This record gives sequence, structure tokens and C-alpha cells, in this order.
Amino acid sequence: MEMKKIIALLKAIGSSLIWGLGQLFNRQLIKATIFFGLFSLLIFIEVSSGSYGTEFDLYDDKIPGNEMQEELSNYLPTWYYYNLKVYNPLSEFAYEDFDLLHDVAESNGYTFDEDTLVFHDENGDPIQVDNITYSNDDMYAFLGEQIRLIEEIELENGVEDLEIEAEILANENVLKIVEALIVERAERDIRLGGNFETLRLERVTLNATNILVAGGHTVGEVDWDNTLTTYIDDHNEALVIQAEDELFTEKYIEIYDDVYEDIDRSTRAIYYVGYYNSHFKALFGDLILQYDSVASFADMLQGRITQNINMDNDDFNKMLARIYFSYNPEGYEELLDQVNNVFYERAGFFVKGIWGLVTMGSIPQKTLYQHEVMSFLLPSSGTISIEARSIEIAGHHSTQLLLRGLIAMLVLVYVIFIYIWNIKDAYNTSLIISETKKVPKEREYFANLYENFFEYIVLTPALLLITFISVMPIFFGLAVAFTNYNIEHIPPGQLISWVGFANFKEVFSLTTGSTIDFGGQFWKVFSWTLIWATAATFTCFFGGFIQAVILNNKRVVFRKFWRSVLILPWAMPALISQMIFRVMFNDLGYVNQVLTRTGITQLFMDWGMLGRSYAEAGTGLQKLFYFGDQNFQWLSNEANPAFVKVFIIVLNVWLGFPFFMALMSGVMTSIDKSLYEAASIDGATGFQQFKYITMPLVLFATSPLLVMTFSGNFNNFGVIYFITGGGPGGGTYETAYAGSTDILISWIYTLTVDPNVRWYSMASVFSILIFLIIGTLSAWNFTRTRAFKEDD
Amino acid sequence: MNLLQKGALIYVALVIIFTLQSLTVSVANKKGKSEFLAGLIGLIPILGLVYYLKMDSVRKLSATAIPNIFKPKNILGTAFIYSELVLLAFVVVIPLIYTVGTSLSPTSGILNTIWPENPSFVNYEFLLTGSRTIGGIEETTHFVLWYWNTLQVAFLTMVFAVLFVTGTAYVFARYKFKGKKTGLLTILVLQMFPTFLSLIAIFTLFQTFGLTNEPKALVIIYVSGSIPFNIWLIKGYLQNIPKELDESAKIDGANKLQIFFKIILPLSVPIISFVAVTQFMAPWMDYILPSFLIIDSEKWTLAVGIFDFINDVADTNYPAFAAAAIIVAIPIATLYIVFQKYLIEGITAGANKG
Repeated sequence: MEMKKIIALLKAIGSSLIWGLGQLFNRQLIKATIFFGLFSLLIFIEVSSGSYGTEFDLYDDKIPGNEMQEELSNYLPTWYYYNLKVYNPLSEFAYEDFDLLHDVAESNGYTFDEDTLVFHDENGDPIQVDNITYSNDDMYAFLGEQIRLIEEIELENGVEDLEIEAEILANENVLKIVEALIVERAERDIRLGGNFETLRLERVTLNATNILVAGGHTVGEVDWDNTLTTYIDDHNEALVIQAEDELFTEKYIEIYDDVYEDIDRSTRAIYYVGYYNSHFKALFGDLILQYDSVASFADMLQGRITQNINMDNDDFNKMLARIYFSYNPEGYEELLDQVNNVFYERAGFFVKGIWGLVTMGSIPQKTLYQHEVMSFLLPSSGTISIEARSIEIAGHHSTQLLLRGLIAMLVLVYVIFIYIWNIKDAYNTSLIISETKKVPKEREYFANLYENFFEYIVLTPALLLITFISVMPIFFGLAVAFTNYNIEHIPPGQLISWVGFANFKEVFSLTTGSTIDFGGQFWKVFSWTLIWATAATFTCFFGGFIQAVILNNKRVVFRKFWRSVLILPWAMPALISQMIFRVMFNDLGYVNQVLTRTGITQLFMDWGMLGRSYAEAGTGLQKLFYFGDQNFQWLSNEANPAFVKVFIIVLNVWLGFPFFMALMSGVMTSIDKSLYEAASIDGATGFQQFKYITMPLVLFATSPLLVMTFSGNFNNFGVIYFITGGGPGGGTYETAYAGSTDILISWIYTLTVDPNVRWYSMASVFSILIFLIIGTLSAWNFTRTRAFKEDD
Repeated sequence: MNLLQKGALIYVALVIIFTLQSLTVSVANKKGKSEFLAGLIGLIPILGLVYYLKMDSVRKLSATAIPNIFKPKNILGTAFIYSELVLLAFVVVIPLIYTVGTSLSPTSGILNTIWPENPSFVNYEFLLTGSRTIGGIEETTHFVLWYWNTLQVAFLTMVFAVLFVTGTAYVFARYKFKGKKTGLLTILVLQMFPTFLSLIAIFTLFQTFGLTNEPKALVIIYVSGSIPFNIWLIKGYLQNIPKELDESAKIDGANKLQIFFKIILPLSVPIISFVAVTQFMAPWMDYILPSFLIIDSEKWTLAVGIFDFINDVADTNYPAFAAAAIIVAIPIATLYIVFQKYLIEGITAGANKG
């Protein structure tokens, strides 16, 4: 190979690796800058739309809602003590010491009478308290025998003997309950100002010298870390306790070190997940014991919190998720492994797009129900009833992936186009340089480009619009036909997957599908669509023709007037006329009223075509002409849908004939008058003139419209949807939601739009079939037209 | 006399009147008189005909001319034609009159006579003011908002469709370039896909960009959808403008843009107006897209709103529907009648594709 070709090739390779590199070697700075700029833009788009290099975090990436951690940790402890426990004593409430009630009363400016168990306000009037129960140790009796056992062991052995306890605590549920129980007690203890009598566990306190004391002996030293604003234990692990509230400080140290320290380090580590988690865990562990169902507790909690903190459902659920996982760290790890898909979570526009197009996602949504979350807190005997709300751990949204994938793909088509241009340019320019020993002027290149590419530049806006608003959705629709996108698989709840030709097979199998009868119904609807389209086209075409002939008869005076009257149905918006028909031909509508008043209804009743149920209608003929029961059921004759079908075709003539009438009378007036004169001289009768001149000319000139009208009627959504709504009958699962007058297009509408149906995959299959039929027909018609042949 | 007899009587009377009118005109024609005047005078039953029979002829009459008109075959033929025309006119007009009647009905049920007993404009008032109270129950409607939404959508669609289509069609009509045939065929094929195929994708797309429930977003779809058909239409029209015009301008040193703005654009005003009018009318009658993409009732377009008057099971309001239908249909029907020649040609051109 020649040297210059090798050089050109090398430059081309350079450009193929880094856009604009070859141009740089060609000393074409503007081009190099432009191509490199585009290249950088692509990389910038990919990187900035992805989150490369950041670590996956379940809370940030998967669970919607704001953390509101700061607001909650500032607010909740205070709220818990002073709002729920103290300022709202009138709610359902358990206590175990009258001192507490005295405190409560005092802080509200009330007094409490121990003998009558009644609060009194400032004036000495009694205040109704809904449900005060005196609780002592027995209040925990319902927690079951196991707890009692633990407590007994604790009593016997003291806190030192934690190994025995650890064994028993292996039962997870018990562990949770015990913990809750301890917290509850510790709180009370604190509130009662250091009265420890009722406690069986010895308290651990943090003394003034930062020595952790448990069960009367020193556990270890903790240091206050100013920068972290937490205590650090002797293992250098943060205790994650904020010292802003002394009561809590004490409490947490109790939980952490007294109960769990010696169980094992991993279990213990769980409880170091953070102040935030522990905080809530402790709070809710206590609170929930007062509520007998998850729903009521969750409602109460959310209600209270949202009174004071601006927190929406998502935020609240996110908080619950935190609590859930602080109790269930294994579940957290498991979920993290499940949902952490590097393509979905981290890749950018192009990579994620293509990945999404191929896989349509691989991880379904995971739902954490509140009862699940709360069951960790509830005693096993507690009521877990209503799945009131749920926490969604978002999975992969298949349709959005598909959409993004298609957009990325279409953008890539353009990108590849520019990419090839870039490489070719590097190669060609290099050759020119080698041959002419001169660097071509770039200004000329661009001027040339504009001249040659004027067409493309003008086309670009329309092209882009069509690409993304018309073509992309069509690709999407085509793709959906090969998926299982239906009501059973609706993102984000479920994943969609590719099913190949399964949907088509189901349609063409003729056998009733295992679930829903698309196979059988399709052929019914399809054959009716064909009959409808053919009948509607020919009735309107020939109706219009006959009318045009009559209108153009020389006897007609004031032809313009008659023409204007008769063209009204065409001028009226079809949609409006169709709706008017729906009203007029209602079972109790105007037409039936008139027929009844004129006695026509009675006449048909006498003939046995009306006035009784279909089953009672006698002969075959009466069944065939069964028009309805009490009235003509023009649009709702469920027993004899053939009547409705015929009627719709007749009604459609009203809507459709004027167009052909107007068109054909235009053609007739333009027929050369000398033809008729010549014919008359030759002795042709009026009818012969009509047969041999008017009819062939008019029909020939207008017949290309037959195909268009046929396609129009094939997809005449309005007539069916607005007049009968696809009925009578249908709309049920058994008939695959097809009514007896539904044509394909109106069936598709139901399958797509009705929120209870949503059988998108089948709707797409039918759309494709319609396209194949209408497309073929139109293409065949079109190739015969002048315009197409001219354009070669 | 019952309704049936009354109807039949009016019908027969009209047929006779028009037959006599036709005969009068035939006589006047033979006698060389103004047909228009004869048509008007002929509407006076019998007297009109007698008046013209007695009149002197302007031109020479053959002996059989007048008797030929009164041959039974001719009279029956005329009567037959008019019995058909009058019948059809009844069929065409009755639903329309009934709609006007319903719109004037003060009660909210289905009107069971063609004209209400005590017509009033309450329904129009209701639509335009947006609320009324019947029997202590307040009803509201967003009709004015629907109208305004639709008007905006229609206007924007018209403007953008013209902007997008004209230049594109010019390029397709006038220049040869790589991919032209493919492009033309592609847009042709695009037209044959049912709208529904793209409905879900458009919904998802709109959802992603937060455009659902936004009527103006419909403009994007309408404009994109209008491009294929109108490109063919305008292209067909532009091809009839002689290419020599371009070429002489080119020799005079005009560039492609100048040729477009100075020569092609002024010459294609009729077809651009046609595109503008059709594009302006389209959104008024589109139901599928807005019904699927717009949820809130105050954001609806007219088609969705009007259908809701008769489709909402809980709250049907036939007179309000009729009034709304009239308000919407009159301007559109007028436009259709005024532009009927162009519209029919346009549709035909669409069928023949240029």
C-alpha cells in the first residue's frame, strides 16, 4: 500500500479512537475542535447522566422521600417525652406509678386524685380520661412465658450472668420484645428521678469522669469526641450518642452495653448503626406496646409527626424503612445485594439505555409492608392486621428503560452517522493533503457543506421531531407487541420481559388461551371489522353517487341550496354528530319516543319483533328481526347484536354520503358537455348517457378514494366508540373486553385506555396487524398513483 | 291528527310545492325567462305556475315544448326526485334541529319533542358562566376553560405545523438529495400506523418529562403527526409551480433561502392557508390523545369535555351537551362549508398523494 494511504488510514484510526484527532494531524483546527467537542459532549452526557464512581446507597438511591434526619432527631425526643407522654395525657395510657400521674397532672396545671383515679383541672372539675389502666409488672404478662423466664434468670443471676441470657435471646422475637421492655422501664426510671426499686436490671450510667459503669462495676472508659460529637468506646468505635439530652444518653448506654455487650460483637455492631436508628428503635419499641395494631400505631405516629414536621408519606415511609433495617440488618444486606445493579444504578444515558433495551430491567420492585416493619416491634401476640401503607423499594421500571433505550438508540444512530463522517473526513482530507501538498481551507469546506447540505439543514428540525415524537413511539409500540406488558405486568410494580412471538401465536392459535380469550375474540372482531369497513365504504360511496346523480338532475331547482343542506352532515364535526346519535337513539331517546307516539312501536310489537324477551320471540324470522324488548334497542340490543351492527352501518351512511356526493357532483359538472351532445345526436337515451358517460367517468375518477375510505372506515374509531361504545355486551374478561360492535381500533382503545383492562401487549399486536393490512393496501394503491411514478 | 299523519302531510305538501316549482322553472326556461326569479315565484303553489303559463314567451316555442313538460312521465319523474330530496333533507336536518332544540331545553333530561315547549338560553348561560343551581344542587362546568385550552392548542398547532411543514416540503419538492425517496416513503409508512401504537410510549414519554395533564404538550404530537400528510400535500402543490422560476432566480444570483422566501413562499400562500386551516381545526375534534393524556377536568379539551356530558354515568347533562355541541359545531361547520371546495380537493389530493 502506498505511504499516503497508510498515513490516511492511521489518521482515520486516530479519529475513530478520539474524534477530531485525525483532523488535528491534518492541521484542520476548526474541524478538530468541532469533532472533539462533540466527542467530549457525548462523554459528558454519559458521565453526567450516570453516577459513575459513587457508592450505592439503598436509602439515597432506592427509597423515595427525604431523610429529615436532623429535624427528627431534634424534634422527636422532645416530642416523645413532653408531647406524647406529658402534654397529651388524655390519650390511651398505661402507667405504673402514681408519681408519674402526679407529674403529668402538675405539668398541665391539673391535680390527680389517687383514690378516684381522676384528674381535676384548675377549677377542681374532673377531666375525663379515656382509658387509664394501672399497670405494674403484670402488664407485661402477655409477652409470654419466655420473657418471664428471662426475667427470672436475670433475677437469680444478676446481670453478670449474661451468657445464659444470650442463649435464650437467640430467639429473635423475644430479643426485640425484651429490649423494648427494658427501654420502657429505663425511661420510667429516669422520669421518676432515680427510683430504681421496680427495676430488676441494674442500670448502667455514664458518670462524670466518662467511666461506663454497669451493674456496679466499671465497664470501660469512653471519650467524648468533640469533632464527632459522640462518645468513643475503648474499641475506638463511636457510641454514636449525642449528649444533648442527658436522659437519652443514659438510656442508650444501658441498652448497648448492659444487655448486648457480651452477646457478640457483630450483633452489637448492629446497634451502632447510628444514633438515628437506635433512637427510633428505642422510641418505637416502647410506644408500640401501647397500641394493639400496626395500623393504628402508624396512623398515630404519622399524625403526630406531621403536626410538627413537614413530612410527607414518602419521608415517613423512609423513616420506617430505617427502623425496619435497623432491626433486620441481614435483610438490609440481602436487599442491597439484590437491588444493586451496576448498569441500572450507575450507568449513564447510552450504556443504561442500551442495557435497558436488551434486558428491560432485571430487578422487580420490592414492597415492605408496614405490618412487616412493625412486626419486629410488636409482640408476637399483637394484632398485625391492615396493610395500610407500604414502603416501595423501587425496582427497575421496564417501560421507562425501554423508552430510554429507544431514545438512546435513535440518538446513537445520529452519533454513528457523525462518527463515520468524522473518520471519513480524516481519511479523505489526509489524501488531499498528500496529493496537493496543501492544507485545504476549512472555510471553503464549510461553505461547500452549507450549499450541499442546505436540504439536510432545513430537514433537521422536522426530522428530529418525527424521530422522537413519531418514530420512537412507534418503535416502542412495536416492541411492546413482543413483551408481556399487560395488567399483570405493570411497571413499576412488576417487570416486563420479552416473550417473542407468544402474543401473535395466541392470536392466531384460535384456541381459547389459558387465561383470556384473545384467540377467539380476535377473529370475531376482525371479521366484523372487515364487514364493517367494506359495507361502510360501499354504502357511502354508492349512496353518495346516487345522491350526486339525483342532485345533478336538470329538474332540480336551486341546486346550491339543496347541496348546502345535504352537505351539512359532512360539515358538522363527525364527533359531534356521532354523540348526537348516541343521544337520539338511546333506549329512551327521541327516536323511540316518536316511534311510540306514532304507534310504530306498537305495530312492531304486533309483529312480534318487539315487546318480549329474545328467548320468548317465536319463529326464526322473529329472532332474526328481534329489535328489542320494550323499545327499539338501536344501540343496546344485546340479544340480537346483528341488528345493532346493521343499524350502525345505516347510520354511518348519514355521516359518510355527503362527502362523496359533493366530490362526485364536482366531477359530474366538470365532464365535457360535448360528450352528452354527441351522444344525444347519436340517439342515446338519458339512461344510456348515464350508463356509458357519467358512471364510468365519475367512478373512474373517484375510485382511488375507495382505498382511502376503506382504510378510514377500518380505523373509524369515532363511529363505534361514540355511538355504541363497542357495545352491546362485551367489556368483560370473558370476551377479552371486546363488545359485539367493537372493531379492532375501538377494541385497542379499550385495551389501552381503560385502567381496568390495560392489555398493552395485545393492543400493540392488533395495531401491528392493522398496520400490515392497511399499509399493504395503501402501498399497493399508492404505487399506482402518478405522484409516485413521477418522482423517480 | 297524530304525529305520523302530521309528518306525512308536511312531507307530501313540500314534495308538491317543490315539484310545482320545478315545473314552473321548466316552463320559464322554455319561455326564456330568468330561472332564478321563476324559482322564487314558483314556490307559490299553483299560482306561480299559472302565472308563468300565461306569460308570453320571449323566444319562439315549439308546439310540443310546454305539453312535454306536463307529460305524466316528466311530472312523476320530478315528483320522484323531490320526494327523495325532501326525505333526505328531513333525515339530514332533523338531528340538527333536534340538537338545537335540546340545547334550548330548560330541563336536564332527554328532550322528547323536537323543540322544547318553553325554550330558553339557560344552558348557554350555564356553559359560559360555569355554574348554576338547580333544585339547590350546584352544578359546575369548565366549558370556558376547555374552549380556551382548545383554542390555544389549535393556534399553536397551526403555527408550528406551518413552520415545520413548509420548509420541509419545499426541500422535498425542489431538490434532489441522498435519501429523498427513503424519506418520502418513510413518512408515508409512518402515516399508516394507528395512533394507538404510539399512545403508551407517548404517555410514558410525557410522564418522564412531566407533560401529562398539560394540554399545550399535545401540540408537539399534533405537529409531529401533521408533518407526513402535509409534506405530501404541499409537495404536490409546489410541483405545479414551474421550476423555471427557481432557475431564473438562481441565475440572478439568489441563493436557496432567497428563492424560498421571495418566490416559492408567496406563490404557495393558498396551500399554506389550507394547511393552516386544517391544522387549526384538527385539535377541536381529536378525542383520543387528550382523553388519554389529560386527567384533570379543567385541563381537558373540548372533545373530551363535551363527550363527558353524555358519557359520565353519574352526571349526564344532555342539554348542556347539545349547547356545547352547537357552540363548537357552528364555527367549524361554517368553515367547512366556506372552504368545502378546497377541503374536498385536499382530501382527494391526499388520496392521490400529490
